[in-house]
Amino acid sequence: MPSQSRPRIAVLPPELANQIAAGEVVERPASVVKELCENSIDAGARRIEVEIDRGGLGLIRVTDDGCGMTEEEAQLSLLRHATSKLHRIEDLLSLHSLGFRGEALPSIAAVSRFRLVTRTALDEGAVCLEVEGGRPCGPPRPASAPVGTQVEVRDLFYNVPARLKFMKGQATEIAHAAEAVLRLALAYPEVHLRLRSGTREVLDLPPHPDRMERAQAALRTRLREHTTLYAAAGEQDGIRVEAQLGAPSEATATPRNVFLLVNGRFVRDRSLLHAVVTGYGEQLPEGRYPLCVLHVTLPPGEVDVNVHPQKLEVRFQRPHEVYAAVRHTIGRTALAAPWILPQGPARVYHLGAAARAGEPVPSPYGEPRSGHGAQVSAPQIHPGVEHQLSPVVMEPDRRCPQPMLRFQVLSSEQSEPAPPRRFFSAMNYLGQFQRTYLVCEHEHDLVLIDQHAAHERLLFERLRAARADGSAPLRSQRLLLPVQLELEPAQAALVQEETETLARLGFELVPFGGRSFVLQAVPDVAAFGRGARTYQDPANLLQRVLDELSEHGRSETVQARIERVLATVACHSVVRAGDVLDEPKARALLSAMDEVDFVPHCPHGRPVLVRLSLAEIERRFGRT
Amino acid sequence: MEFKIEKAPLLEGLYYAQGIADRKATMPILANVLLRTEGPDRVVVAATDLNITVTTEIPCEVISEGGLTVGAKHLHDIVKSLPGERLGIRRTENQYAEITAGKVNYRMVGLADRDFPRLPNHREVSFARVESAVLRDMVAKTFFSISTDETRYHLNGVLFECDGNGDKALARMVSTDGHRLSKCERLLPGGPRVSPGVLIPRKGLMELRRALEGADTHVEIGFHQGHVFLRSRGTALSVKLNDAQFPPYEQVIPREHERLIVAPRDALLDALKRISLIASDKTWGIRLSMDKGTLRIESDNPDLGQGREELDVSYGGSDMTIGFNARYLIDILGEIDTPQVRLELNGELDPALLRPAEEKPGPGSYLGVVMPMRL
Repeated sequence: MPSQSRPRIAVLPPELANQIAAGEVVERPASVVKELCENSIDAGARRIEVEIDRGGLGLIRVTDDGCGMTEEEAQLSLLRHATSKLHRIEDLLSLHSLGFRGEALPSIAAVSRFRLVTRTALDEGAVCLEVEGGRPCGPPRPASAPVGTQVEVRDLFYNVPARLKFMKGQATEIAHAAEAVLRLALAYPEVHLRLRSGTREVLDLPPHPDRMERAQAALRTRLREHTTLYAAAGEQDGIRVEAQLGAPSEATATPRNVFLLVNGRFVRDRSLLHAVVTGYGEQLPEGRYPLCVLHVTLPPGEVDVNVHPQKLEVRFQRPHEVYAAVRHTIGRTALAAPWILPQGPARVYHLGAAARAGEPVPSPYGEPRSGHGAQVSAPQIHPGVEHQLSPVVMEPDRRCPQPMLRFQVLSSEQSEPAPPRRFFSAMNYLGQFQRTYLVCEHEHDLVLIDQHAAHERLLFERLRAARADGSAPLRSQRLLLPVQLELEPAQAALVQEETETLARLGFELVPFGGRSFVLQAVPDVAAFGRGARTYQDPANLLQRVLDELSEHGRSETVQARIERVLATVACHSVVRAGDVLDEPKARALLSAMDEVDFVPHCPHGRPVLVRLSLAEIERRFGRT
Repeated sequence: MEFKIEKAPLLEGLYYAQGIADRKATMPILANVLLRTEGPDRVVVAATDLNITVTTEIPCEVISEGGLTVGAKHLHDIVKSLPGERLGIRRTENQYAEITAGKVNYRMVGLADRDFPRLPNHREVSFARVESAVLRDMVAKTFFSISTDETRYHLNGVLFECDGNGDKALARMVSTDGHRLSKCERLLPGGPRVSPGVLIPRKGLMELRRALEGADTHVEIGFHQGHVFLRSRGTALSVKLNDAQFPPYEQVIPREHERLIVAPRDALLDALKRISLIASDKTWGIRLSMDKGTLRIESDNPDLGQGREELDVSYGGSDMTIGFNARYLIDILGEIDTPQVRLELNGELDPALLRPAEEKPGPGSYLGVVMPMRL
């Protein structure tokens, strides 16, 4: 043995322990902003002001008008694991606050120059506490301040040079801070939130009456084409889902515009994300993510929030049910495709205005709501009626009490089919442009329809309906060269449990001892199609199906493959751009489009129609 | 570098070259054709996509030695349009190529010939002289069942074997895409010894097929350093072989059968084509039902309707119904050239064997194996 002394085990000094613990909670300035704002919300604040300087490394100041703390409480708040939010471990199961560990304040105080000024409504004056790198700078002293709490964090990470080195540029840190405030803002529309960086105002969100208006206002700058969001809501197995959806044309290549909020808490969750994307179905081009704010509300006992230091991940007691509820709720709205309807400055929607508690039902021809930017009022949840959404009524121009277009966003309780729509056949067909587009007049808009995309979608829907009829197992092609697979233990167990499901999908697997299986047959569609996203290799296809089965309890791959085959079939057997369509043919196409559940995108995700509003045309002619 | 050359033979060489030159490649020089003088009276015209290389030696009058490369497609189109029988090609400064015919003059942007990939040297290859019609027939009979999935390397080609037995040499080609298999054996007098077999990739085989179509009655074939070479007159094609293990195909060819149908080839082929007109989307599912003396071919498609045809065949076994992808049967029947075919079956989930009812005299055979579908 070398003569070196054996490393000794020793208890860390509390300052060092605090610094290490802080590393988990306080990753960057935005984490401080998040933790402090969450405290403010837990304190019942209605107004929270956040000021930052030098990207938060110079100063973070959060001021709220919440309930404040007494001197004694303020001192306790800086001790680790001191919290007002949790008293017994059972309380974790019925937690309604954002915080509960009692870690945030001491962690932040350990890595900064920290000042806390707080006052309750019962106290005459405020109390001020100062801490530097975790050590109190003297006893609390009296101060003067309004009721509420103000926390100042200066020189973050001044004593953790290693962390300081990893900070990005100021602009990046400001963006992260803004994102943190935005996430809270989406969950708490009733709270006024402001974020200032130096003298610049980054975010100012006054209280909004509901989540829809808050989402509309908060995400306005991220909407590119459509100016509105669309509401979806439903409840299933005690899981309440509410979402504000952007049109598929707002889709992005990363999920940056998907906000998943579980019981008011922003989370990252692959399964929920997948549910959202699947809900949109094939309206969303492959590999794209929508703009969507998703609120999932379920009894606190059914979510474990205590799995991630920054509480960015949660565990669900019934993950499959949550997945299904989200997918169905979003799917229902996406299928109705509200984005197909006219929008823009000339149009006003009333979504479920009738359900607004205590207000008389406005006449469909009543005064349009005035307002700028956000023109949609969200569905209000009537306290008595569980999620009964009233029909969405699109209001035509008042001068023209013409065909009223009605369609329904069904809540989960309403399962009767939507009434047959007359949308396309109600249009006035004007002619064909460039032998590619059908030019129509609808109410006061000019509508251009891509004849190929429209016909393709029509045929696709018919093929899909025919295929979906039979509940018989899918056809399968036997393999000449069976493929021997060595599966991972979890997958092997899955194959044994789900043999029947797999057989219904067309996979035939025979156990070959241990974790080995022999794949003897694949779905008939497996052989069809080439290109980067198809899987001719049978083992590859199976692997993907198994991944989906284990993650979501179901697999869409085979269905998706069938749809891709159908889409290709549809694409090659319909009118093309450049084909002359005389009027009877064009009209026949329009009325046939009303007969299927028409989704305004071709199966490959391109839009079917483009709408130019009268207002837009008038504006271009300088008539307004 | 400068030479004068007859237009017709040059055009022929350029025609092969522009078919191989890869315009979409990330290496610009692969879109070019190489022209390099070879001794006092020859020029080599070559193009490659790094896997397949074609070279043609053409007589010409060399004025000064050297080489150049220019865009293959454009040079082909230009030479094709030139008036007169002869033209001159000269390299000028900055890798420009000057093409002159009568009063026509072009200057084409080129790339240095030293950057052109090294050509496989077919002078070291020992060639065997074989009948091109036999090779052509073997390729046709096995080409369709090669897997089109280029990521399944071991199936994306045809297995070629030959015992090199002089005048009695027997050659074999086998291909499979995992759903069906075709195997063709032929006498290939003078054939080379290729054992164990080699895997010729699908894309290269397409070029070999093209070259065989334009070839004389005999071609020279050789295998060397992971390449197959085919030489006919002045043109030499080389294809890089797939370095992969072809599956043990003998195991999947059924040796026995419980049921045997002997049917007229043309009637069966026509019936399959007719009934598959109504078969489902792209998967061509059809059903064969057999009882004594009759074969019934049916298709049932919810979108379109049903179709059915009965054929009188020779069959003495028990009743059975089995599903197939009609395309797979049609592909094999299309390559069988005898009036009667044998369809050998076992259970409804077991592989089916399709082959000519009477083989031609002498060694050599053809067969196809098709896996059924569960409909």
